[in-house]
Amino acid sequence: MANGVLREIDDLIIGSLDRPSRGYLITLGVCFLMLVIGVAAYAVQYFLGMGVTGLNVPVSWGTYITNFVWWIGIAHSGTLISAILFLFRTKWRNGINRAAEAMTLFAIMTAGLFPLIHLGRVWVFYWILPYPNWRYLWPNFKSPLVWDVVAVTTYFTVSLLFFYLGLIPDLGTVRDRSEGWRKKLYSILAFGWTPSWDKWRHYARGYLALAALATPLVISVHSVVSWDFAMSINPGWHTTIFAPYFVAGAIHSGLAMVITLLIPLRKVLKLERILSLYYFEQMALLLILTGSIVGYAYIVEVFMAWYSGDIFERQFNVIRATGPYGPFYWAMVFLNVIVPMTLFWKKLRTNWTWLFIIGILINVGMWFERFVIIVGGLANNFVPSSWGIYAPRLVEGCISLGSLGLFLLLFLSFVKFFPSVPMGELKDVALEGMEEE
Amino acid sequence: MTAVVLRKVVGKFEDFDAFKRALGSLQVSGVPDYEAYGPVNLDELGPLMPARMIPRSFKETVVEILTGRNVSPVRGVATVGAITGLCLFFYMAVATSNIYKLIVGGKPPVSRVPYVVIAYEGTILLGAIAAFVATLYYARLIFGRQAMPEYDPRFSGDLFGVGASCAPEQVESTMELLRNAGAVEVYEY
Repeated sequence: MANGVLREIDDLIIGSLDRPSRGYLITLGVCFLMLVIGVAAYAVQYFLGMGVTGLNVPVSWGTYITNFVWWIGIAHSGTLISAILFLFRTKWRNGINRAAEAMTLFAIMTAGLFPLIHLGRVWVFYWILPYPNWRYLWPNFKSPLVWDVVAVTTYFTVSLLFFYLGLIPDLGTVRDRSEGWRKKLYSILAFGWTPSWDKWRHYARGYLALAALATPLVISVHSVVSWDFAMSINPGWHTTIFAPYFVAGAIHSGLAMVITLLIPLRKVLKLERILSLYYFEQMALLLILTGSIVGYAYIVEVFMAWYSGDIFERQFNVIRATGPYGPFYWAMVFLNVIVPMTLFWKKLRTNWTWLFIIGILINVGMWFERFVIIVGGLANNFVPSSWGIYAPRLVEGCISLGSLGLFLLLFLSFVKFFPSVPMGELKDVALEGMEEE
Repeated sequence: MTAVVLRKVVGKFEDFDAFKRALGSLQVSGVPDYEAYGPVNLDELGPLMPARMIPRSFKETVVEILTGRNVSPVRGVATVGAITGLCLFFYMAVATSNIYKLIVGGKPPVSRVPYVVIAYEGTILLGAIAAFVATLYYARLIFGRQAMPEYDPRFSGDLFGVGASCAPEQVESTMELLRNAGAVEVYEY
């Protein structure tokens, strides 16, 4: 019977909001510890100044900007899975879109910290915001850095609205099944939602409109991030391929992060029956596609350096592959392109352990990619006399670790208070399946 | 002339097909108004639903009269929001450049191409905010009433429900209609 299946979906997902297990609490504690380490390291930087980092002339953008670009990239899969796959009516998005959207939000929040951490004088961060002031000085809207602020702020706002609108019907369901303080909390959060046709019809139009608006946004945000680099004249940065290259890379790393997070999550929250291998296999297939696009971009970069005849571009590419950052370059090629190709084998893409490992490997590879682009581009510019070397210091490492702790802490807290799998959409799929039978 | 007091008949369904059958029967039965409830997106049931009796906005009334369908105005509001964002953000970039006319490299202070990026983001930002607020407003989620009295919490879980408002003389026939369609529980509220 249909209602038996619907009840089971509710039981499993609402059941995951019950009292947390010991393993969950220990993981939460570890994440909190990582965050404390990050905060302590930031306190050191705040009081002693930017000299405690490895940043100096000529490499003035290092780990922090690498982290910013990496986290923004990770934020991309949520909106891809939610908006783009929704518009294409892709059924397999339904099991994973909520977790991916939450991941998007928390990744943007984490990313947003890094420009502030990188600023040095964080107390004047508001100078970048467009507000009327007595000096008549406004942000320079011609600057890619200001585009970036506008794009990332827009991305966060739209992702938040899209995420929350999708959550409302499920909050109504949780409210109807809760008691005590939980009922009160979910009543407020659900905005008085009742699943009547009159509400569903407006909801469906609103969700569609937001998906339609979020789709070009996904493409634009990482394009704008790439223009932070491509609008300069630095060798290795000044290239038109950067926008599609960054977008593909962002989706690649985002999908890998979804896989990395959801594999342990399905065990911890006992959602094995809902988050089946099917969803992960589909994501693995998508990883082959994004890995191929990234690989193509790597090849085109080298080809363009050779074909253009530009000696600076040629020199930059040779140094990148053979210089001090060479190991990172080859690691990124191997982890982002070669490793995902193993997913062509069904045996490997249906293997939980391999999927989990590959998710981590791709994210490490994508971090190397950002590092090689950002640091490499600054370390070896036009004039050899101004070349330099950058190596991250302990403070930067601790702050990066802290950011990972913050992200995981937010994500783990979310899955215990909100349904991490969209119940309404799963019920839709279940009903359609039964109608087809 | 005295107003007829409408009475409410509620039917609960476990089966989605039976639920749709009941809505189809209600549509041809002459019952003036009814509402459907269910845990899945019911938007596609529009053709089985009555035209709304109380329009919530002038635009909605016009759209419903012109098309004869139950159309949500949310997308229209989102479009207006998006166009406003496009104009507003482009204006902001141009106007702020004109406040402080610093000539750099002999180029005019206003440069249109880079401002397209700002206008593009503004289009999406205000369009999305408008879509969200319009959804809340038209679905009466913030401003509106609480659940209808016939609402059963199981409608958000595993049951489908129909609440029909009918004249006193239609109560018996409506209850019969819902039972025949396959309702597991029928009662007058």
